[in-house]
Amino acid sequence: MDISQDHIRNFCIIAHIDHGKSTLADRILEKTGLLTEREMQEQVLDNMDLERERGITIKSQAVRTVYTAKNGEEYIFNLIDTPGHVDFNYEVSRSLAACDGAVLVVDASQGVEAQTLANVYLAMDHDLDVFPVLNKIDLPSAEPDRVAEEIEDVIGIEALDAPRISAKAGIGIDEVLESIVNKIPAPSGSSEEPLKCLIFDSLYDSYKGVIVFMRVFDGMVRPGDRIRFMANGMEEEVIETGYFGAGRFIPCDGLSAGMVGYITASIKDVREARVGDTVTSSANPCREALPGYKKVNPMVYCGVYPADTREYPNLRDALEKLQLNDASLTFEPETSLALGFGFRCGFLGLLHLDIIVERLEREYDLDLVTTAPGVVYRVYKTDGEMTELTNPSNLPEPSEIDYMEEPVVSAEVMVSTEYLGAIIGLCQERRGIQTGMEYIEEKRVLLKYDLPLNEIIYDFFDALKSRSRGYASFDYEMKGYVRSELVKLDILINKEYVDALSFIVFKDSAYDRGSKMCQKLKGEIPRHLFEIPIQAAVGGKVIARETVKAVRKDVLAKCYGGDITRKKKLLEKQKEGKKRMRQIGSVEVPKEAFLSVLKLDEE
Amino acid sequence: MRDSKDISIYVHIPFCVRKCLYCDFNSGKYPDYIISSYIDALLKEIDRCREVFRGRELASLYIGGGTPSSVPPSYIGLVFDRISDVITIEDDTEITMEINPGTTTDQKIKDYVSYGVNRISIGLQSALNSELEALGRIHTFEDFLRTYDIVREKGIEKVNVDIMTSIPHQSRESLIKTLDKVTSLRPEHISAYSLIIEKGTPFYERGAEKLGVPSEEESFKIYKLTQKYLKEHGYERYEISNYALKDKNGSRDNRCANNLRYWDRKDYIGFGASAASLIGYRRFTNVPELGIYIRDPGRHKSEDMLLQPKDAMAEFMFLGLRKIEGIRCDDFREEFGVRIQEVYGGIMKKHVEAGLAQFSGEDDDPGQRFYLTDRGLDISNQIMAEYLF
Repeated sequence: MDISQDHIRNFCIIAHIDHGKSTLADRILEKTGLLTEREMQEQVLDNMDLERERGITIKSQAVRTVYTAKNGEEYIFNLIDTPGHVDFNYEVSRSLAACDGAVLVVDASQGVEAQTLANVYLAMDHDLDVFPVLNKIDLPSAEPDRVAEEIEDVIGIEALDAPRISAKAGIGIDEVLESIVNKIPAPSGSSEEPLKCLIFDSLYDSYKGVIVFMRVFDGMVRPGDRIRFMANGMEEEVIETGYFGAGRFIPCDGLSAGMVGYITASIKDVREARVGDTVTSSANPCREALPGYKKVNPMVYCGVYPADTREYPNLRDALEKLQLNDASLTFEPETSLALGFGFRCGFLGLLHLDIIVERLEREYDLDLVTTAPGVVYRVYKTDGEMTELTNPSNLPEPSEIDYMEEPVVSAEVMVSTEYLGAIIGLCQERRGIQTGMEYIEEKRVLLKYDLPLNEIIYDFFDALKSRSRGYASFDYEMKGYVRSELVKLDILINKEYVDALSFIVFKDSAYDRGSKMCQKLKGEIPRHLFEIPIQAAVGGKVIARETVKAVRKDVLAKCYGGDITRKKKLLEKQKEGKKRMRQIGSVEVPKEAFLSVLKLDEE
Repeated sequence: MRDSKDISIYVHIPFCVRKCLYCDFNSGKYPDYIISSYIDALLKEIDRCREVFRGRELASLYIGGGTPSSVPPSYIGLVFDRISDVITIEDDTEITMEINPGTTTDQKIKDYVSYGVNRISIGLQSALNSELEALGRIHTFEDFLRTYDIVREKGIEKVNVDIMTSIPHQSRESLIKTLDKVTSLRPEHISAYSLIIEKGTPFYERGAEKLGVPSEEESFKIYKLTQKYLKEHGYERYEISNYALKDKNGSRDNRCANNLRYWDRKDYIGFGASAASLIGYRRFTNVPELGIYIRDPGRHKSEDMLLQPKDAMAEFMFLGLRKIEGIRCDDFREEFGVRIQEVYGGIMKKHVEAGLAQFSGEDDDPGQRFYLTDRGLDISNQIMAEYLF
């Protein structure tokens, strides 16, 4: 199908979580007729099981549909999906770079939320034209007029004539489609210029190899062309070009300026085609690369170890493959006395960590042990040197430390006045410093706080939700480092120091976290033949202790009329349980014990 | 090599007047026509196994359940008749029958004796009626006393009484009452089991806390107290849960011959639904479903396996170590052709060093035994698991 550049619309949908982004995407695909209803899964774009279960979108994906507008002409829509969670700002950013405009979905009953703002600003940073859509107007609590006004006041974009829709009920979708044609600009750029494409995603496929998702800004690429990856100078011959059907790859003759699609080439190493890189032609290269993306640094680190030490090479392979699609994931080998060989991995946030670990376990069939997540601390040593600390075990001796710094974020919390007190209390408990408070309207407040990152990586979201009954939203960005009184909390099991359980904590919280940790471990470590003390210590001084009592009795009384197999099965179960444990000194510690520290505040 | 001449028979009667609240055995209340067709099926299965008994001697016979005394005694008579058809029952063969005090009459016991029963096992559990009620038992302590008298009256010289520990609301004081009352009767044998709350029982549904079972600490004390009390009253513990009255002149062995054969891995064949058998190195178990069993008795197995040497070695250990006297090291070599030290030396040493097990006699002593200490017996599951491969 030959379509001129001015009939292409490359756009994304941005929204606060749960405001209906995926549902609207489904409706657009449905209305553009690419899919019959029968083909439609509930949510076409979210095709990973994991995403479906969590109800959020993780990997950005693109889909191409054909829309016949009211003027009778056909338009190509390239809809590029973006993740909604704050942890994935980096991925949002790379999706936005491939678009020319964005549809902003706002829940007409909820209004503007913290992430609505964050996403709009991000889109504007990428020079995208944004137009709003008021969703969920069929809800009794919908207040489209009020929300339209709020959008104009808070964000400063025109919203009074925004389409009022219900993606769920299929109301107003036609109006959205027409707005996409009319309000989102056609791509600029020229097919006559040297080839210039941005890699915005990539996927490893066991059949096709590396599939590179790109947006062509200038020029034209066809199978057989030689292309160059500008970051590393690697050259390859294009094997296939194509675009994205719903959930499948549809080959085509070539991709020209303004188009969104994919290429495959015989790329052998998964790390060669990095997201954010510029692809050009070997024969006629463009002068300079596209700006790419801002390199995002991981904010949260933890150790990831295979439960079965023999799986180490498989874990490495799996991490390499995931990294291809997710440049924000970093890892390097490390060794733990307790856990053996593994990797120190860096993540954008705790949810990102959770998702990566789950993907490793599910897609790569690995059984993993992860250590307590921590942030990157700066350690200023007495010799004037500064080191960045990602693994608590590497903390220098106290005598060598001059002082330490911890990362702080500036956070915005949008909350209804009803729960203001509770949320302020929460922020204070987490060592927050209030930097601002604005009434957005009479019943809603935007709170601004500086918060230490390590206070929010564990369970801040959950606490926020429960204390505001879900009526608070939260967004944050890195602010910088501040000096802080920090100590390393060590755990000793049966007097043996367990490196994998150490973590850095604010001095005044050490006792509290230490006791919680001991209590948690007490519940996780099975009884042994001897008593096991579990201690938390700071600088060699024990600050909390629990005891796992010795087993006193473990007998199988009955004889079951000679049914020996039943007895044997019970013993086998007992033996099997032991195999899954890590030996620390003479104590067998189950994998769950290492995970339990992630959930210190759950009761 | 394994002795293949003797064989024991177990007959399972899966019927009860009412199921106890803690029971997860294959048993229950069924209509009469099922009971009678089950008995027919038993007879048929025994008949089908005629070949197994050729050239063998009957070492012991045990009728268990369920509640064997809940079915008409004539049915039991039919079973005995059929067994005598396939193998000779000698006068001195131990023949045990389990009975429930709520289901026995003078006539029934008389009948059992006439069939040849010479050992009776009475399910008492507790001497306190409040505890019996909590367990969902159908009888009182007074019912038990009447039953016990009848059993003695009819000339039964070996009686076992089952008691249960760690039952809801049991205390050390209430346990002593039970032990007092039971031991004063001087039964030849006492089995003391601690209550295990099994999945699928009403007790499991209710949960340990609501039931008011003794705490772990109290449970352990109760368990220890039982051992001490019975020892002081002339009962010798010969297996984890079993005690035999010491005979004054030492001429009579009051241990349960039938159960010893399980721990010694001697041949036995089980008849009836869910009954288990060991013949040579073959272990097999009938299906538990009465309907399937009755349709084609003994044909369907829920399990049928040929033990490999490693399975058999593990069994040798985890069954043998249930006995207080433990295992004889030379028995291992005789059966498996390899010294026990070569297979289990490391683990045995570890257990000895941890004070959980001991050797008796020197390494070159053919009578050398290996057995668990008191502490080892307390946590025997953990130890036995280590002898599995």
